[in-house]
Amino acid sequence: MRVVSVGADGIGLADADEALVDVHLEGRRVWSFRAVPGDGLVAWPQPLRRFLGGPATVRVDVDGATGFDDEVRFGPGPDRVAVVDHEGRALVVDNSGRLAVTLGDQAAAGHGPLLDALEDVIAALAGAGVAAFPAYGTLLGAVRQGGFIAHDTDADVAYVSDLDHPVDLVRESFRLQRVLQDQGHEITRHSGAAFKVQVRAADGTVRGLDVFAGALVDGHLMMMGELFTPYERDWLLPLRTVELEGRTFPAPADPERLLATIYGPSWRVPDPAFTFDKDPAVERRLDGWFRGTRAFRHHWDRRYSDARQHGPNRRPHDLARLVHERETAATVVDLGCGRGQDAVWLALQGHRVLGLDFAEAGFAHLADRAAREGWSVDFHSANLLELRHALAWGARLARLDGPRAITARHLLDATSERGRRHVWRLCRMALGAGGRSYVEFLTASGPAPAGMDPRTLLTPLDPDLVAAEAASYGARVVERTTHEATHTGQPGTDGPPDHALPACRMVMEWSS
Amino acid sequence: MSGVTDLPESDNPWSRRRQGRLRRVASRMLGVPELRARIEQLEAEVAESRRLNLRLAELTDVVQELLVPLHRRDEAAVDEVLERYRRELGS
Repeated sequence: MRVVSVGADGIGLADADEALVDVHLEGRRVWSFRAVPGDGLVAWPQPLRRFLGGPATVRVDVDGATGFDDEVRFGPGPDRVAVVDHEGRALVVDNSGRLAVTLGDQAAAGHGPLLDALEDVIAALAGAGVAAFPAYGTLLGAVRQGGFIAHDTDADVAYVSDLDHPVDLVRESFRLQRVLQDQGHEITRHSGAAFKVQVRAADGTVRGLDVFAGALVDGHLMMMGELFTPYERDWLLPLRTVELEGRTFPAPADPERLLATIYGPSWRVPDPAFTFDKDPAVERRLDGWFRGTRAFRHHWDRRYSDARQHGPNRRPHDLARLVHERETAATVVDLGCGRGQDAVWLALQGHRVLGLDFAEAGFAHLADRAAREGWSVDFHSANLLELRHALAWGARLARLDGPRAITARHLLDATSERGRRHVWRLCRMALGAGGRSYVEFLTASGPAPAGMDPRTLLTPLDPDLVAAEAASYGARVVERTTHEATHTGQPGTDGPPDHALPACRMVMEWSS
Repeated sequence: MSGVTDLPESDNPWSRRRQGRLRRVASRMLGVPELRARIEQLEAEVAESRRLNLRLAELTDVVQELLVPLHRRDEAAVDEVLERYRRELGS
């Protein structure tokens, strides 16, 4: 395999084969990926592109051997490329495609908060009745070298439950989340059986500590997110210990066996671009039992990843203007509020407003501004793919004083069927005593596509399907219009971004 | 194959009776496209059943952690219970 070009559009490969490719900019590794046969031009990961504005020395190594080493001019800017955050800390693209400060780039003294969090979380989980230990990359680093893996950015914990039924495992995961939150930790759920603890260091770095449920089910080890494999209980329990960065942590009874199970027989060889070879049967089982509550969430998080630093275009969308015109005195709930510009505009027109979205980074900027300015709008993180979120918000909104309305612009087409049904249920609860919802979505005729398209984030829906679904939850569609939608951030079928796309607007009245 | 049908029935692998019997056996067996469709249907049914686990756990949680506490409290504390439940859901 040869590296034939490096430019603003990506890295050109010829005769591509399975190989680990490390990309260094200005002498520092910023990205690694696994090439596969058939690769031609491998595009820069989206979060890296904004840094590629000037010149840089680029070195591309293929399985450790240098395949390209030269100066590249990525853009007309005068400054040399520097992949750093706003405080000047070196960033690298982690295994999930996000920019992060690696543990190797952060001085060892900076690992204290993460190690403290590991100790606190593992102790809390043990106190709550599950056998917890560092897992995945954290266990690998501990067993292999007694420390964090340098290119790692987050830490992982797993626990072995005494339970073995998926319903009970989910309920236990909910209970463990509450135990940790009562201790002051911030939690984001990945699925019914895994969640992330946000660890904030004194230097402002935020790292994730993932907590994965494990259980022995019919002679198999089930461990989120990848394992369902024949396993003996005494390969895990009783726990023994392992050293990590000079501290002692619990470990499975046979840690090498677990590492070989997860990473394969060559687990002792460092591989920054490691990706799990997923077994489709295991994926189907774990997807079915536990998943479905994160559809496209990481895509939206990535889209808004640098949104905190600057505000959005403040011009309201047409739907917001319509809501204001029709609902003069109402409290307005903006579901899927995105960057929050409509919610803020409605507040400035005199409404009391609540903005809900699962991509917190999107509305963070305007939420801060609203709090400073005293605007009558509150923003909250809410994941409507989780039934508990939808029901809790439905119950809260049902108790609002006075008239209320719900607006949802490009929410229905940004979520799955599960998400849409939760939106209808929330509307029914919140508006059942009287009220209207205003929705807009991209349209297509025919049945909804089987899968969502990660390139566009919005999946056109059949208006008849939307109307029928809403009606089955008690809605009456009182208006239905079509228009050409712009400012959806979507590529057209063969046009430039923000190409006009067919869309539908519906106004619905609700009764319980 | 001229002459085959001239053979006695017992010696003729291609006798009409045997052909008929083979056709009846073949029609009882599913062809590959039908098997494939049946497997896809079974996989969809398994997936649907599996999805019930999360839903059941979520509903149980709502009843146990929200509805029961709500039932026990007076009107003034209802907002507090709702807000606490929502906050504990994380993000």
